[in-house]
Amino acid sequence: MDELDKELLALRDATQGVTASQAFKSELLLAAARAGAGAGASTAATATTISRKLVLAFVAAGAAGGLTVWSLTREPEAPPPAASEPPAPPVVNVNVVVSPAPASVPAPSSAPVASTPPVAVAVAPSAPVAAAPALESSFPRCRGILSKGTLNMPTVPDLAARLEKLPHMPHARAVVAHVKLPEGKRATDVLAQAPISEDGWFVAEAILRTHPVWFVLPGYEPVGFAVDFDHEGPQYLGEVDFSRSVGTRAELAVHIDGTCSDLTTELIPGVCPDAIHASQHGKSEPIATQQGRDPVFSGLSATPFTVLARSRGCTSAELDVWGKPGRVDVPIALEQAKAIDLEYVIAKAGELCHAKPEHRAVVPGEHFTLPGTIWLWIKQRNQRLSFEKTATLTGGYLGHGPLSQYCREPTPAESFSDREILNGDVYMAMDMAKQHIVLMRFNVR
Amino acid sequence: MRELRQDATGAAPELEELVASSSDELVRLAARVVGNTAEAEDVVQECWARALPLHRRGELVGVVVIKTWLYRVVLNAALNARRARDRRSERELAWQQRKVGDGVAALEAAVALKRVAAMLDDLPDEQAGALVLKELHGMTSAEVAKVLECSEGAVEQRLVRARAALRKRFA
Repeated sequence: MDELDKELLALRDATQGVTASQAFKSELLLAAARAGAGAGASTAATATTISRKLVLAFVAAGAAGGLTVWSLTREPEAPPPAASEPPAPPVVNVNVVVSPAPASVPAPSSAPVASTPPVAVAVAPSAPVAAAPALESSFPRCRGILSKGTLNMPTVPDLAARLEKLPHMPHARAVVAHVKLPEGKRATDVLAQAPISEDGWFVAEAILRTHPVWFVLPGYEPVGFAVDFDHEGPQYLGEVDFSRSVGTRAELAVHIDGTCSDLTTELIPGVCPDAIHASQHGKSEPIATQQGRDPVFSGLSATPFTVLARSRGCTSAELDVWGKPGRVDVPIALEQAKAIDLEYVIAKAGELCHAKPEHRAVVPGEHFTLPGTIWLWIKQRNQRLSFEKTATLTGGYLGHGPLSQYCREPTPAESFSDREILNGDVYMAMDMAKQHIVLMRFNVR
Repeated sequence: MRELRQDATGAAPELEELVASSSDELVRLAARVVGNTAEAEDVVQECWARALPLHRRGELVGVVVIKTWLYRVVLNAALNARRARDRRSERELAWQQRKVGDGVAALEAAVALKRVAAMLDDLPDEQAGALVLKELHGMTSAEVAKVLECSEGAVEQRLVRARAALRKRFA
């Protein structure tokens, strides 16, 4: 057995524990159950974002026979609202088609399956079914973390809109809503998928390049949803949505790993008043959070909730909420960055702390040389700022905070070639030939 | 590879049984090609998105060994994903790398998958596929040949070439 064989064997053993996540398997089983439910089921809606592609595949498969969205029903309760033609939306139509599942379709949970005949809440004309497959390749990979500014959304600067309640539809468990844009409006990924919790609560989401978004639900007044721009500022860190109930009582730990100041976390219960039980909810007041100390929310009711983390001047953090990890970066949108100030000290080794910090206004796209041979290139990419230094320079990312703290003692630097600029981060570059050292801090205002 | 065959009447196994029995293996296979589990789940999901409508329309009846068919589809999709990987940002990949799960074992698996991805980086698809199925997934040459729809001799030849390329690179 040579070295290569040993390496392959080691890799085989090390990767033997790789398995599909439980959530993923559950979604697959749910989709399989629905797909195998019979020829009548032309479209299935799955419960979380992870199965969007499956949803789209089923939508596409069902297109030939007309759009029917199956959803699983709960106990028959009050009759659904009468279908009526929605008023013409001024900007965007959302055509929601809901009908309950046939009795043969198993429910995803132990909830009893209704044996009532399908209830067509509404059938909106000419739902753009044919467009669904085209969405598949471009829909952002949210993977359960729905957050404006999450890095895995390629449409970070785009506007995200949500309709967060669907009142008086207690029967439906899942809805697929299509968003139709008016002509001339630019949109990349438009799909509103709406898993409905057992409490009848759902989130419909559309990623649009236009706003406000108008959701039109059959039988209801159009609901305009403008993006809350307060959430787009630097104080908004990110959020993790839980659209499923989490049990009658649970504790939640939020772990935030980042260089943040004035950090708070807030747990916001589901917003549909018809859906929330009268029992206690999670606390909704922001809780001051310290680095390394997880805030714990207790007494959660069986309602969906959102964890919202905010921090002044913080642009990046790791969130790990109950095994739902994600990195949240608030993009430094160029239009928001009215001024980018490069604060730097440059000196020979051993003299850094005596050097006076200089300031320089920075313009995206600019190449410039700081005294010595410290060459920098401020780049703009995907609405984010990054910078590159001369390849021959050593150094890298140091951390966050004032420059002075890095003058005093040597700090290991994380090397990089092309580093995204986050507000307040400190970098170092060294020209070993001329023994110049520069400490840089970008301040975005 | 535990084969899942149609019964005597030609009926395909129940979808749920197929999904339950295959998902882990398929994700593992895809992960060993693409180098991370999050992307592997996407690959497997795409394959199920293709397979489920076929199953519903009864078109899987002609497939005698369904698992072999699934392996083939997943492997091809994973190789496609590997080719497309360069088009995505490093940041997204870095995030995916962290999505393996919790715990030391998962971390080790993530590191190992990264090494696998680096190892397979420059290998042609046919060699990478054969290497993953045989050396990392533990299939016999006959099973690999079935999945790749080629002869056992061709499998051995691909393996020899893959090994030679790897030895040369890591020498």
